[in-house]
Amino acid sequence: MPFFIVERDNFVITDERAKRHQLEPGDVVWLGPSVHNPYPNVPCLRNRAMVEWWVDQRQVREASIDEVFNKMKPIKPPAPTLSYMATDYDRRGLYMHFGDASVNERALSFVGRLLHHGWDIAVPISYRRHVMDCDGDDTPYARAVLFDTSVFFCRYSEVTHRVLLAMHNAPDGADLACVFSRAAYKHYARVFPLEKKHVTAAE
Amino acid sequence: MSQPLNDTTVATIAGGERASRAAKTLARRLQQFHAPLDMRIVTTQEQLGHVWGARAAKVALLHMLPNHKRYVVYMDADMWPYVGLDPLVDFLRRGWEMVICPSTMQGESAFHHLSNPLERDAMRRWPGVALQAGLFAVDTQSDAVQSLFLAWGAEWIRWRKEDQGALARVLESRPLRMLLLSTEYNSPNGKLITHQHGNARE
Repeated sequence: MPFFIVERDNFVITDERAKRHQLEPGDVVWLGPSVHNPYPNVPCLRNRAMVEWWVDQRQVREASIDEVFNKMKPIKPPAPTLSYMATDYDRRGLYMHFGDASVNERALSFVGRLLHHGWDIAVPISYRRHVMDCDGDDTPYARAVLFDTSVFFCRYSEVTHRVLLAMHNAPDGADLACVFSRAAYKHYARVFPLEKKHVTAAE
Repeated sequence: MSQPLNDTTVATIAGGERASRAAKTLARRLQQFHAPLDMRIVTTQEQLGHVWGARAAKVALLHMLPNHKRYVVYMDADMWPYVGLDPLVDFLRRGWEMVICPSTMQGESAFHHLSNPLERDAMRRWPGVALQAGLFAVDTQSDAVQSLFLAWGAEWIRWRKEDQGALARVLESRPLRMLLLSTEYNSPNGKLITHQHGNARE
């Protein structure tokens, strides 16, 4: 995890943009370049050696995924250069809804139950493309279905966090359906496949 | 060249004479790809009705296979594989708990095959993808898989007809690491495994 929790009182750091932050125990620090930081207002540090020294000195400690979600939600919307946007964070306190498609109430209720029961992600599948249609795919998942990321829902979990980070870190112009699908397979996400027509159609 | 599948039981269900012939043909075909192969053919009793019996056997499949291996692949008897089953089982070995394909019928027509009007109405505009349960592979050491099968059997009892609606409904509350493969593995035009729907029925 690239997140660290401050454990020291009056902890002052200077981030990579030369901005000074006075932090208190429980505050979060991101280790990595700011362009990849999914959370606004979190100091970004690139100096791994410095962070490791702080860990040794017990001034910071590595954060668990729950701590990050509990402290930092909502997650920052992905960069506007990406072709999707977050439309509804933490709806009903349970899940995140991404995508630019509107979703009917019946589907929202259904998805809420899915995620409550423990599915990590609910997302429509593409009927025309598979992972093998992604550029340069050489994974065992070539014949697996490709997900349609025009709308998807996530429960807070380490797996979904990794999938979202993969999307967030995707280069400009990347095929986000490919990025999302590969990350979901790589991390063995429990993905419930949705029928897009019935999710997005008005009722 | 045939490859052993030492950790896998392959099962099909034969309801009636025609299905028995199809199941034996399927077994011989699979043995061209895998030897040795733990292949089981579950048969049904005519008094129960073969179609009904075959579905009842499918939703109780894990109980129908004494001393089965860790991985179980189920195939309808009317399937014709052009490839071995290694890719499906390899996904289970990697950590997936279930491998299955979506149905080629989706959207409004996804559950038109349901013969009970009450069940058909319950599945109208179902927000989930319809899965084709004529082929699936499961890791039987997974608690989630065991739980899914218990729930599937109980849900199927409600209407005692087709099995796919019941599977769709129980999946809602039974999350598992489920990998969806291309319909090339299970469809009438499947290039890897062809599903000749109805070819094994009387």
